[in-house]
Amino acid sequence: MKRVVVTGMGVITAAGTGTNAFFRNLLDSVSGIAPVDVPMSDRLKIRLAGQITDFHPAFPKERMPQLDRFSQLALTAAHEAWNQANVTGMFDPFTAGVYYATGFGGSATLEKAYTDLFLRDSERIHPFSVIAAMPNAAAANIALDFGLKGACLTYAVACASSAVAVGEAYRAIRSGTSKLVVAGGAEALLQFVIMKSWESTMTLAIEDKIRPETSCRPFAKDRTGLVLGEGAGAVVLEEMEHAQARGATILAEIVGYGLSNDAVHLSRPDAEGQARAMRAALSEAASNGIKLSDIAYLNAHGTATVMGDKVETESIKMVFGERARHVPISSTKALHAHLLGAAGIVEFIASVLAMNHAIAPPTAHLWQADPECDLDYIPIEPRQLIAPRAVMSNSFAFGGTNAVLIAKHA
Amino acid sequence: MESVLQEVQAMLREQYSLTESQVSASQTLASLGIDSMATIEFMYHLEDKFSISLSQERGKLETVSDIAEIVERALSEKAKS
Repeated sequence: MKRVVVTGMGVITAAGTGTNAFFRNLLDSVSGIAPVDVPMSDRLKIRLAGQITDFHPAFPKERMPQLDRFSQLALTAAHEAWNQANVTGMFDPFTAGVYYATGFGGSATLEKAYTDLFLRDSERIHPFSVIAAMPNAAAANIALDFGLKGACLTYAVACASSAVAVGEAYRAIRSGTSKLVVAGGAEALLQFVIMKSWESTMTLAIEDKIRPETSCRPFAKDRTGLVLGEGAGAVVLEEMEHAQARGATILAEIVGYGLSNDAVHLSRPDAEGQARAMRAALSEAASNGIKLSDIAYLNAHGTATVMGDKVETESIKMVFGERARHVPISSTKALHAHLLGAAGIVEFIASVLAMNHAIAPPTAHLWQADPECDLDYIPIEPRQLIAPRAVMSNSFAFGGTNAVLIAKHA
Repeated sequence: MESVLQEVQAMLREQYSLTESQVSASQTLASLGIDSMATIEFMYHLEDKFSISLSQERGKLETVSDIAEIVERALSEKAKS
């Protein structure tokens, strides 16, 4: 089996663009959550979102109609990762690929098309609507920009999408079918129709009228639900010898990927299914020399729904046993919101940054502990980590999929 | 009054920042850097400009004059109906 390393990372969220700004904001609890500003948002009952308000895409004018917002975000993150990896022309394009993810794909393009047809009585829609809206548009645009001619895949596994994309890319490199991969996910779902659909699920956080930016409160007694967010993340993954041969800086090594499906319920989380994914990831990590006690930080799925956080607390206890109370855990969704198809990658990047900077971001807005969420959820203040060896990131999805990634220090 | 060809040429110049000599009638779109996707987008703008429908158009589209021809055809279809 080949070893798989991370050589570049890129991120864009409401809580920061670029890994440096993003991580600093996570440590400082700078929230990107605010009332959303999108067409017809005045008709939303719950207007909170993690909306990126300072995004000024610099793509050529003629390319813009081909790029739904989710592709624009994806390319922004991918270019940051690619630049950091400093990949020169010295790679085989045929063993280089894209493993990307999204939950809703080009939904802004679709909403505009529906609006034009149904509300404006238009007889036609823009000819690029198909190539902009297709869920694999982001992946295809990344492949196009960097000349990656191998696999170009898109995973749609709801909130676990991009954790799965990273995990499957890791497997492809591990097995030798790919040498170099851009992996990650993008989500740009802040449209009236999708936000209204989520509103009906009764899982969205109720707005704190005084401090709306603190409305998402994972693991807190006063949590009321999740906040939808947009954003993207990307990593450059390489076969270790490939990275070493070109003198790349190695940021981390992926050593474990666990995947399971609950097959119990479409939306209700299941501790047993989550535990199976964590155990599978830990078991694989063990074969790479990482023990359970080496996990120095766990970035929880932690969406701040009443049931979700409780069930994740149970599943972590099932897996970590006595050690569960001694693992620093946080949910950064309190700040960047729930990025659905991009959640897994953004939180994986947060985990690697925590390991490499030896400091874990806190769970922001966790002022009131919940007795049913009684693990070390790093309330409010960041936590120094002493010589962290490995980190874990949990992603659990509607549809029952659970994906867990473990990275170890380079 | 401007011919359809002249109007098409003016649109091409504006949209793709081209010069008068570049958009001569016999010039191929490919040589102007206008690929098949850009051509389709350009036709979308032509529909707006001339209030015509080109969605059923499957003719040859290689040169600037080819575009003018399909527009003229669509305009005469419109006049008939």
